[in-house]
Amino acid sequence: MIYAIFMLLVLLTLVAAWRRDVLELPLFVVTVLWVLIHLVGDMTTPLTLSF
Amino acid sequence: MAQLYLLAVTLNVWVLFAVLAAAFGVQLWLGEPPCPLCVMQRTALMLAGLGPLHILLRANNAMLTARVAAVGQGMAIVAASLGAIAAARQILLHILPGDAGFGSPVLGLHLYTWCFIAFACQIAASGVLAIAAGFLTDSKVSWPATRITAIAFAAIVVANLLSVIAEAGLHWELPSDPVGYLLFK
Repeated sequence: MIYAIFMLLVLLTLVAAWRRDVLELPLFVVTVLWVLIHLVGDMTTPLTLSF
Repeated sequence: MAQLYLLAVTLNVWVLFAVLAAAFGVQLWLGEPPCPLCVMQRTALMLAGLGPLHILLRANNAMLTARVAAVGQGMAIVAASLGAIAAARQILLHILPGDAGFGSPVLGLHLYTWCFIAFACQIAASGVLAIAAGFLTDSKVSWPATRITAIAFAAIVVANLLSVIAEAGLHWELPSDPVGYLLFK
């Protein structure tokens, strides 16, 4: 489900961009940071995401 | 100049759309559900698309300014860098001699290797377009392709969203080596 949430956040960011909403950039930053944290978590623990 | 810039930005979105559609096509055609790292790369491709879409959606029927262009290209570079890290991670996981890699190769390379190339190209393209943004003069523009471009991109995001829900089912994480769609099991 976490990946579905990432994509949902992408979709929400797109909707915010469409509406020229001020939330667009904060949503983008939150999504990027969350994906980055998830990726670093994978890199620093035994293989979980891999392959 | 503004029209030419928007044409380049629109093409950028459609190239990312094509990469996402190709990955989705391979998933359906070869019956190979994406692994978690593959899904993260797809997410990064979508995030990279939000940069040029920011420019299109802010500029259409309004002003195309260097500020709007800079923010959009910055978004694309940040997202593409994130995707390049994920793709490089996956390439390194399969770098040992004798490792067949994950999934079927397409045109001799695995999808994560193609993804790394795509992210590198995106960073280069956004860099060039960021430089070009410095030569933009603020101008009011109307760009009819904006609407269909944004709708198409939203559609591919929704398709991937439904796919990943089907693949993960009610589980928080995806299996590291997925072979089917857990929602239907």
